[in-house]
Amino acid sequence: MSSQSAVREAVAVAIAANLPVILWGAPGTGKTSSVLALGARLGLPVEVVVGSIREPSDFSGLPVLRDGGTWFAPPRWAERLAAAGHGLLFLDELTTAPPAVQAAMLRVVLERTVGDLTLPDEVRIVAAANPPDQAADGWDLSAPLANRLIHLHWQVEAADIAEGFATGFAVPEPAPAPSPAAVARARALVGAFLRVRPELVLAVPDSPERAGRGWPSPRSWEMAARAVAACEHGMAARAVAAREHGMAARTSATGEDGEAASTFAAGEGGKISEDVVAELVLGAVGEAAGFELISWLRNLDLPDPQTLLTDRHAPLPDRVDRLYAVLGAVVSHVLADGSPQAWEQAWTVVARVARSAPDVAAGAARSLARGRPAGAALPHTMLELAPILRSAGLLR
Amino acid sequence: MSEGADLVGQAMARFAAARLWAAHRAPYLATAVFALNPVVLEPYLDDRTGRPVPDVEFRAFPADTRWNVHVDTGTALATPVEEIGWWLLHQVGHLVRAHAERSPAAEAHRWNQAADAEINDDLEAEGLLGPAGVISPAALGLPPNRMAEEYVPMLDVLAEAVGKGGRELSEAVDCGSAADGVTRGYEGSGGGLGDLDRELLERSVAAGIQERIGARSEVPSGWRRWAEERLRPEVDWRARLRAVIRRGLSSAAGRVDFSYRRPSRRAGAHPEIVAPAMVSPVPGVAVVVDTSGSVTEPRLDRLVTELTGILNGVAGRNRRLRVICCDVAAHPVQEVRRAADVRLVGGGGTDMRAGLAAATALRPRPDLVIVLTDGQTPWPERRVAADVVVCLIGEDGHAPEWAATVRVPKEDRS
Repeated sequence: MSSQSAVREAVAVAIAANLPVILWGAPGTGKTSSVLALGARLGLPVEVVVGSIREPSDFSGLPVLRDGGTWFAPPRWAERLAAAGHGLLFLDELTTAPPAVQAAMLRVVLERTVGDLTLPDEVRIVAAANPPDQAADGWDLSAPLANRLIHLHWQVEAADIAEGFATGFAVPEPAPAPSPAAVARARALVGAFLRVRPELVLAVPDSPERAGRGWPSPRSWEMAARAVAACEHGMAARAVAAREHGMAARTSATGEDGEAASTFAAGEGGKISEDVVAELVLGAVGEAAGFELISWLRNLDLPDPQTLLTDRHAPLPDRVDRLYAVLGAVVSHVLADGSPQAWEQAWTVVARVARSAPDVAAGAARSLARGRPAGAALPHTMLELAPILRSAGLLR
Repeated sequence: MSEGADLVGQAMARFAAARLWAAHRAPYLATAVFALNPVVLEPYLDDRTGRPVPDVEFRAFPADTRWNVHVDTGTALATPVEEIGWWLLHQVGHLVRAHAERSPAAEAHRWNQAADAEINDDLEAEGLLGPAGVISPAALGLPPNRMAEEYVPMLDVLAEAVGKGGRELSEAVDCGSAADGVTRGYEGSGGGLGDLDRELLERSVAAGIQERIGARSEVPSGWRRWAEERLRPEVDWRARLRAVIRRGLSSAAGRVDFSYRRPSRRAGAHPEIVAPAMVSPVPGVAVVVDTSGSVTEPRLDRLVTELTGILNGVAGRNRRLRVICCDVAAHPVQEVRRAADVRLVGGGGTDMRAGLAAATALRPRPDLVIVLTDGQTPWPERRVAADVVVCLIGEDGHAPEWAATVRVPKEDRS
């Protein structure tokens, strides 16, 4: 379901937010060149290290005798990165490296140490690998390593390649790093979600072919939260830029719904970014848990039944299926409540919905009418909905 | 032009009533029905009367993969509300079953009929009979609950038989690109859902169906299966077998060892230290084949061939393979280079304990033992001295807990 532009943008966001990513994709599809281009654009020195032609000592340090002890001398690429203080370490062919080399590479990703040298925090790590079924001698990632990386599926589309040959290949726009406030907000959101679904906090994969992909654990949820924050932040920064260019109208969705939830409103400007959030979240915690988080985040901006009952001007969603979900929630809330007052209030909501989607309103009206509390009068709205109910053969 | 706008309004009112009917008749699909986005097409007016004329191309309210349904005003006004509603449920079926993605490039019309058959039997099971002239597996005498891919050859046979009598199988009904993935000329004007929206919608519909099953509401079996598969996609057994074998071998192949028999590649860098070179052992694989009467020989032949293919991919080409056929006792070991060289001998009952004992008694001892069996056998109570992968053929058998297990379908459907 992923589109290439969303994946490209996801890579840029992850690099900006300093999240380690792994790109899974067929050989020869431009993973390396696009990471190199992104590094150049961000002004980061890039070191490409190809795993399959290295030895373990290239990652664990070459033992040398000095002053009567054994020192593990780091290789030149690690020294260059440490000297620069920032940069981009690109570990290519992570899964085609022999197991002993892979084990040594793990330590670089996990602990950011190369021999006796520790890489600075500002060094971004990007890995690339061919899927095991495409590489002749590929290995599955071990579950602990898979859990420390955001998995992105690098696909190429014929149209993009054709255009790339004509006009040059697109380099993803560099994204800004998330602010601490945005990270805190996103962590609070993910925390609230995990309180609702505690069984998703940790799900260790049970089969070998699932182990090599993202799976939910406290660590990968943390990465997911930072990815959400980075996307939100990137959105805001771009909205400011757009406004400066006199395109304010397109991104005006931000203020109304308020808070972080507005990032997920299906507004015009939020469209691309939501795909990017989805790529990163699914890559971090896997599909099953990731989709639950995304749909939960989406439903945050649906109004809750109590608000709709009391506030006649509370905004209603535009999409008919979401309207159906909201109205269903109102009806079951009112039927559970059972008081004539709430029941009568519900009819004003039904009447509001009836103006735009009479069929949704009519379905809710039937269930509502069936649960009429004693002493409540059948309101006028029911009569207005009679024609559509009769037309659908539900009123005889 | 106010009359035209009025006609469109009437058509939309009928559409809304149809949506309500569909949501009422199939409440488990209500979310999906309301997610359909109607795109009203310019009505085609009769020259004399000025009334809109139904266009037969839009009889099925064709949908595209972005969940837009195309409503021709004339058709909507001329079609009974129940029939519009039935078509909406039908289109939801095409959309959530990803018929556009599954469609083979050739024979779009036959594919559309087969896809219709896959959907309509579920609708018929609910008592929702389609309008005259649409494909119905029950009416054609075809078995229910099959995939469109299976209906295609059946329909080919039927069409040939019927063609001789000079009668058509069904009327040509076009369900739009949602059924076959071929973009139509009229499409593209509606907004509709994006990839992510679609994925989330399908998941929420599937979750809704499972919730209903949990609450003991009525959901037809075809939709139950769909929801189950949608939320827990089945892993291809070949991929799983490959992964399990690779893991079994890597625990042996990954035992990378140091040896002083060869000098280190780095020896020149520090002459005062003698560093070892790295060597890795070549893992040995043995295959135990259950040749008892309960497993058919062609199936075993194909499985052995696939297995050697996977081993070639994982462990390197043209590896010598040791194969032991086993019924109540183990037969002599065969050393082969190609799957075609394996002779399957045996018959009668099974005792896999004998086969595994023979495999672990081989010298050099195999690192990985792969067992092909239907699982109707006693197993050793304790772990044997090698990694064991059990390919269980069919649904009934059982494998010991200490072995990695891959279930393989009894009949090869693909």
